[in-house]
Amino acid sequence: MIRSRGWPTDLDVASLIANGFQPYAFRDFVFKIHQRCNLACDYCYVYTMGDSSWRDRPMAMAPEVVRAAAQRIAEHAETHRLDEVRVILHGGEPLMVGREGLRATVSELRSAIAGGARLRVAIQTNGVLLDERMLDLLGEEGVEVGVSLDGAPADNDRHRRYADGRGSAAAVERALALLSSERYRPNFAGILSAVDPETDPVGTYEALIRYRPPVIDFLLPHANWNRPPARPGPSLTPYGDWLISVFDRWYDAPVRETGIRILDEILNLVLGGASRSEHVGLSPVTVVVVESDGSIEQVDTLRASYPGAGETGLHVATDSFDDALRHPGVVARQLGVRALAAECLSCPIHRLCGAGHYPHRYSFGSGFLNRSVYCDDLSRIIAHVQSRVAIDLERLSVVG
Amino acid sequence: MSETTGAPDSAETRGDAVPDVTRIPLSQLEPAENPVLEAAIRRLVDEVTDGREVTAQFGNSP
Ligand code: SF4
Repeated sequence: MIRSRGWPTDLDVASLIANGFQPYAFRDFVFKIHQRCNLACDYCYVYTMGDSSWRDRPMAMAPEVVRAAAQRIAEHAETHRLDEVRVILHGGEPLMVGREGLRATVSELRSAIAGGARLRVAIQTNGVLLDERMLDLLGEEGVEVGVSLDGAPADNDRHRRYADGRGSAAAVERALALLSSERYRPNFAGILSAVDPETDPVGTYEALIRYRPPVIDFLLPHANWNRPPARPGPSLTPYGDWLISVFDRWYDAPVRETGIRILDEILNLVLGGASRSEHVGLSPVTVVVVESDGSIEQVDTLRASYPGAGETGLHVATDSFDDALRHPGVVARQLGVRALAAECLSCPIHRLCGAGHYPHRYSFGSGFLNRSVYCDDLSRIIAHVQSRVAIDLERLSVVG
Repeated sequence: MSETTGAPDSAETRGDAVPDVTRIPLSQLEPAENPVLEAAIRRLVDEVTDGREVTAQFGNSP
């Protein structure tokens, strides 16, 4: 049930389509294969933001739900002639389904999505259960593995703790040491890390690159206009400042040590390209979520906005993913510049910023038609990248 | 950031301070010494050459 009014619940999708808007097919399918977690991180959108829908859903995704969802993906890929789709195994903590549960899930996916689009399977885990046996299985099944770690152990353990208060860093560092070893490295997809402006940005970056991740995903904490982010200290833009310090450390290194998704995308946007991230830019978002009971949902970080914000009322047993493509909440995230508030439209960097991550725009009453609650931080980091790139490009000559 | 007030730049000023680098012919530039910038230029040139539709991926993922 949608409990809040405001844009885009009143979006007239039929008229948009009649006027030429064509939905973009989904490419990323997030499967919530386990609803519980073995950690109790204090910033988690699943359990700490007022949405308790996880309590009412099956703990684990049943094999028939996996099968039905996989068949829907195959149908969607065929309809839209997609050459590649990606399923991201997510939770809660997805490794809590156990080795056999994982093997069965991946095998269902591979048999349903065979012969058409190439299937990539990824898992995003807190790393606590990631031991050699689990990594062997993920390697055999060709699953890309991303692990969450918030930097140095003391920084990580400020937020990422077990329910009894113990920090998780020791277990996660063991897992990352394994995953980054030669044996398991081919499956290492990257590290996810939440930005905490009270930590040392360069120290955090350097703690993460010890594992030589192919990519680091720095995420701004879940926040919106009704639940603004913590802004410790005197700066009005602590998140922008933090990202600038990381950018300078990364950009000035003698070699490219890793990718940093948000900064790579800002660089690409500054150079005139389009973003592949839902956190910046105006590219259509092509992500959909399947809950453990088979419900089709919009991106589940919307739960941090208000209870039920991600619901579509659709289910893989009865509805296709094409049905979800016509949901106002899905269309809103594919509209590009047409989904921006007036204040963003008059902003000179709106093509680059794109009003940031959609959930960060939410305000009770007006919904998602607002600038980002991180507006000043985003404009600060984007302006910094713009000026550094401009200086460097001016030095280069055209050779042919 | 304003050097005089320390406040974030306003929307009116922050876009004007830097030249529009999107007008530079990236595919014809000599390689950049900075490896991060060089990789970014190559990525964009490849993307344009490839001509594939770019969409935004799941952010909370590997
Ligand atoms: S959120 Fe702020 S910086 Fe981003 S486009 Fe809107 S006004 Fe500009």
